[in-house]
Parts: sequence; C-alpha cells; structure tokens
Amino acid sequence: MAAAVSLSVGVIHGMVWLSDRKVRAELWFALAAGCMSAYPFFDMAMMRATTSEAYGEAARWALVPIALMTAAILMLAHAHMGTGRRWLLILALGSRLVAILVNMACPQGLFFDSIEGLKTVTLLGEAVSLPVGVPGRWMWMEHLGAVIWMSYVVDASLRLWRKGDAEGRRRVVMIGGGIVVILVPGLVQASLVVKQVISVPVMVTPFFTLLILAMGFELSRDVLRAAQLSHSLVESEKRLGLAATAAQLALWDWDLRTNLIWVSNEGRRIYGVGQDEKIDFPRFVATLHPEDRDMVEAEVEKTLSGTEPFSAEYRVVLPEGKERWVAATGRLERDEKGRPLLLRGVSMDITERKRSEQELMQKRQDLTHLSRVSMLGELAGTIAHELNQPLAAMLSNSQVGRGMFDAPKPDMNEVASILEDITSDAKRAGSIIHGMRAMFKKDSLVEKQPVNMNEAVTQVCGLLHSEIVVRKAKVTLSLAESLPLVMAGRVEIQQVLINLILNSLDAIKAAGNSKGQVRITTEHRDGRVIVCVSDNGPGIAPEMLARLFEAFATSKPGGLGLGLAISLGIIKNFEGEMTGGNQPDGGAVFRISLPTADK
Amino acid sequence: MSPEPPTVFIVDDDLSVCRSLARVVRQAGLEAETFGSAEEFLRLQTDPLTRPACAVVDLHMPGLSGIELQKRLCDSPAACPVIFISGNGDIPSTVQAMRQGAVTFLTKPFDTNDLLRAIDEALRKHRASLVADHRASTIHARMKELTEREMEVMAWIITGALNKQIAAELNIVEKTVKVHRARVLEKMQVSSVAELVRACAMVNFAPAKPVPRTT
Repeated sequence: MAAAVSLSVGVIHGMVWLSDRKVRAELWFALAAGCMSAYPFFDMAMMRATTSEAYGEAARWALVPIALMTAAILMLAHAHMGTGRRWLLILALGSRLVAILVNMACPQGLFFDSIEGLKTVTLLGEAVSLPVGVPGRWMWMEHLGAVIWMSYVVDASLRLWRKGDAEGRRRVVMIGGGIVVILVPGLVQASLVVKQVISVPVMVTPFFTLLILAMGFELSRDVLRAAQLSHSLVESEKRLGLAATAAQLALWDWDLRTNLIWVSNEGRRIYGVGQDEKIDFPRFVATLHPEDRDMVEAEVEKTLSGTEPFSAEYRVVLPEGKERWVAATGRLERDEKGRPLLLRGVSMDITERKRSEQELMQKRQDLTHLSRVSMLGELAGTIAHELNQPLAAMLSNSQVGRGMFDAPKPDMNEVASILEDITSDAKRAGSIIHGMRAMFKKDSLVEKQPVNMNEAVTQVCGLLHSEIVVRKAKVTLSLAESLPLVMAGRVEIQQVLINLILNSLDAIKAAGNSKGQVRITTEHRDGRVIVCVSDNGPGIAPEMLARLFEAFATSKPGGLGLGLAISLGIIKNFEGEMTGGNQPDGGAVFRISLPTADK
Repeated sequence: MSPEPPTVFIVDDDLSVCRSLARVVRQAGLEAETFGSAEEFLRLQTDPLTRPACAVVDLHMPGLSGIELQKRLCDSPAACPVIFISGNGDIPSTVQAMRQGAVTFLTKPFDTNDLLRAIDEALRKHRASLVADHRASTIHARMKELTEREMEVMAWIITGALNKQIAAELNIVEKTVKVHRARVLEKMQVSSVAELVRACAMVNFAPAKPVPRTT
C-alpha cells in the first residue's frame, strides 16, 4: 500500500517536472518517491525471511533504495530551500556513497558481521522474522553519514529561518522539520533492531512514507499556487483588456522569431486592419504614411540594436484614405544570450491631441507674428529714418549729377563716382526693405535654419540704429569669435533680440538715465551659444521678477506684457532657454541659450 | 566783402549723406567741410569765423545731438546759423530747434534747391551778423581811446544835454565841456551827435541818468 501511494505521488510530481523543467525539486521528489515505492518490498523480504542468509541478503539490498532516497531527499531539500552549503551537501552524498560501497562489499551487508539465526515474533497477528547476530563493525559509517546529512539539513534550515520571510520559514518546518522529526526516530529504531535491543522488525517504511507524504503536500502547494496564478492571470488579463479598450489603447507584441505581430482588437481598429488578417512587420509598415515609414523603421532598428525602449509618433493611413496620428511605445525582451525575442508595447490614437497641438502652434505663431508687426509699427518712425538716409543721399546725388551736365565740360569722373554712390545707397535701402519684409512676412511654419547669432545681433543693431540714437543710448557689442551656428528661425531670433533691446532702451528712458548703455555679448560654452543683453537701467522690480515671462504682466505704461512671453515661446521652440534677472551692480540682464547646430 | 568763399559745414553721422551734400554745396560754388559727429565738428572748428558760413546738421546723431551742438554754437560770437536735416522730424525737437534760432528744418529726403535756398538765407544772415560784429568791434576799439572823463561826457552828450547842463552835472566849467565834446567826436570818428548816439546804441553804451535834484 505504501509502495502504491509513493509511486503514484512520485509519478504525479514527475509529470509536473516534465512540464516545467525549471522546478528541480519536483524531479528529486519524484525520484525519492520512486525509491520509496521500491523499499517496502525489501522490508517485506526481511520480515518474511526464513533463513539468516536470506535476511542478510535482503537487509543488504534494502540499503540501496534507502541510500538513493536519502540522496534524492537531500537534493530536494537543496533545491527547495536554496540555502544549503554546497560542500556539506557533497560531503553528505559522498559519505552515503562510501557507506553503500562498503555495504555491497560485505557479504552480510553493513549492518551485520554475521547473522547466527532468526527468531520469530508476532506483529499485528502475523509472524515476522527478527535477526540474531553480531552487529556490523562498519555501522559507524552509516551513523556518521546520517550525522553529516542531518547536519546539512539542520544548517540549511537554520539559514533559511534566519532570512525571516514567512514562505521560507514554512519550507523549513515542512522540509527541514519533516526530515529531522520523521527520519531520526526511523533510523534510531532501525539501529536498535540491528543491535537487538528491541525485538520488533525494522519499520522504516511507515516513517519514510510519512515523509514522502509531507513533502508531497509541501510541493503540491506550488502546483496549487500555479493553478491559482493562472486563474488570477486570466482575471488580470480581462481587467487589462477592459482598461485598454476603455482608454482606446492598442496592445501588441511582435514575435521576432516568427515575425508575427499580435494586436488586440482595439489595435486592429486603430491601424485599420481586418479582424482575421495575419500581421507581420511589412504589413504593419504598409499601414504607415509613406513619409513616416523610414523614421519608424529607423526607430525599430534603434530599439533592436540598442537598449532604448521603442517610442515613435507616426501617421497611419486607413483603408478609406483618412489619416490618423498614432503614438506607440514598446519594450524589447531578449533571451539569455541577448538575442531580441519579443517587442511588446502599446499604441494610442493621438489624432485629436495632434490636431489641438497644431492649432495651438498656429495660434502661437499668429501671436508671434502679430507682436512682431506691432513692435515694428512702434519702430516705424526710426526705420523710416533709416530708410531716408540713403534716399536723401540718392536724391542729392542725382540732382547734383543732373546739374553737372549744365556745365560746359562735365567732370565724367565725378559723374561716375556719383552714380556709384547712388547704386550703393539704393542697395542699402533695398536691404532695409528686404529685412523689413522678412519681419512682416507671416510663415505658416517656422523653418529652422542655421543662424549665426553674431550676425543676428549686428543686423538687429543696424535695424535699431536710429532708435538707439534717438534714445541717446549706447550699444556696446562684445561678440565671441568663430561662434558656432544654432538651428533657429532667423526672423524669430531677431524679434527676440529687438524685444530685449527695446526693453532695455525703455527701462533706461523710464529711469531718465542720460548715459544709457546696452551691452550685448555672445559666447560659446558647453555646446550652447549664449547671448546676453544687459543694461544700466533701474533693473527689474522685485515683484516683477517671478512673473517676468508671464503673459500680460508688464511694468511699462501702455505695455501689453506679451513681449517676453512671446520671446520665451520662440526660444523654447528652438530647444533653448531664456532667463532674466538683475545684475549685481544694477540693471537688468537677459540670457538666451541655444544648443549649437552640430549637436 | 571777405575775399574767402563762404563755407558750409556738414555734420551728419551718415557718410553717404555727408558726401552727397558736400557735392551739392560745391556745385553751388561754396566751400564744403564734412564732419561725422558733433564732437568732431567742435574739436576741429575752433577758429573764430571771419568768413560767412553756416552748418547743415543732422538732428539725431550718436553722442552729442544736433540740438546740443546748436546750443554750444549759440554761445560763441558771430555764431554760424544752423540748418537742421532729419530723417524723421518729430514736432518737439523741431520746435526747440527753431526756438534756438535754426534757419530752417528740412526732412530727408529733400530737394537740393530747398537746401541751397536755406544755405543762401543762412549765409546772408551770417554775413549780416559778421558785418554787425565788425562794426561793433571798431566802435569798441575807438571807445578804448577815450579818457574816463571823456566817457562821462559822452554819456551825457548822447542824452542830448547842452554843454551848460553837462558842466553843472559834472561840476566843471562849460569851456572844458566844450573841449571834451570836440575830443569825443574826434576820437569816435563821428561828425554829429546823431551818429554818436547810433554808435553807442550798437555797443549798448548806456546814456547817463540825470540825478534828481533836490530844491
């Protein structure tokens, strides 16, 4: 009966191990149970022995399954507790092996040197044989082995116990405790029988069966837990599906070995793919807007070859021709050898967000343009002055030139130099108009181009020349040599600079400072180009400092308070930063920092 | 009058404007001198002017502005008249310029004939002030020849007082007054009392005030 129980338990756990080979404990348990199922036959053979030779033979062979089983149990404890000392385990297994070898070498086995006879006692109504003889002189080896593997189990148990978590302690009680509490009495009983101190047969079977059952119960918990896990997995999958559908999230994974992409139903809707259609990578790429395909493929390539998670925003063209913006993020899973296995992620329909982003961008641009135009309007007078200079020179020159022909012999050299002057003044006027037209022009989209900040500063100072003169201020430039380019919109950058310079001029004027100074510096530091505009005006009032870049916050009478807010928007659009504050020795300073174009 | 041709000083921070205006001036047969700033003009043009001249000045220049330059020029004797030119004439500065005695105010771009007319007017003005200046300095020189007593007598002569009255006022005999009167007319190189009165008026020499008599 004990054999049948052990065998069936062993087979079950063997099956569990076969289905998931990572759980080694199941293998060792199956092995132990298998050995256990063999042992009762030796036990029976001993009890039913009629000659002393037969008894000795049975006792000798009975040690083999016992040894194997102890070894399997040790391995099981080792795998299940995970805290055992490896050298102690090897020592225990080694001592077992030596004991078995000695056992097989002795004709009567390890337990007896000689068996002189058998006596018969009655146990539970049945006649059983008991040995009478000289106990083996090699018995101490068996006992030493037992002490070693017992100490291994005790040591591993103590170490696991000290770790202190509930799961570990439970394992100590079931496995460590089970081994010690159940096996010690069994072994003691066997030894007493052999030394003929008590007159009952060796009854290892019940003890071992008990241990196998205890361990089987312990291991079944894992199996049970797996079942529970799979149940809760189904539940959480359902919950995730529900959440994903509600959030209109598409779940997907791309098996890189089979090149098949699994997509949730919501995903098929987002990408406009039929419910039953098979999807591989080329099919996915085919759903993308032709202009976005290269970018997405490059992103995927980057994720497959690197460690960065996948992230992209792209357009999907639906079968009916509509465009849809989709944002996708994913993470790559690799096998132990680091080969890409699976790219798993989510996608989201962001068409609505994109549209409002674009609307916002358009609005911001309109506002930027509007503020630029109104700023230029304020400057109209001085810009007209700037334009009137070449016009005045041209008018005078042309009238003088005409007058020269009234003389009997016109000086042709002078006429030539007059015409040259007229040409260069016409060009000067033209370039002022050109610059103005660029500032008035309204672009649908700001185009980034390489901009030399030194040039931008000098151009703006040229444009503001008259304004600066009228305000009786002085502008000093200190520009860094060989400044790297930045990627930005030329006109927008000029707008920001004009805004800052006009602010400084206004501050100087409001303070009634007759020695107004505006200082503009450029420098290159840490991969960024930094432009500072500072003045010797009254500085920024403390209550304004925190709200400097807020829209509609202004300290200027009649000011709208949009200039700096718009300037900040422009600089941020070019991935730059803008700060403002007061200098230690008075006056305001504004600092623009833009990343260089090569970065 | 003066053998030197009249000079037009052109002060403008715009080099091209300076050059074109210089051409206009030279074509009209006048001397032209150009300066890039008010400071430069003040530094280089320090000799007292003996020939007719005027200045064509840009209103807005870096550093010293046109208005400030005009103010400094006003302080010197026989100041050369100023014609303002500007790219954008705002009303307050125009008013101030005219109040300070600017000849006119031209807005760029202007017709060269307008400029030449303004220069003409300015030179005429300056010529007149040079003449007046010259006259006054001659009278001053003659007055320096007079003795203290003769100055006292002259102050009484130009009030129209008779010799007898002057003698009473100065407590001297009438005959002496007669001698003084002849010497004054001679030294001042005038032939009549009326001429003497005009000359004194020109240099702001004040007539004597009769002390109110007590009876």
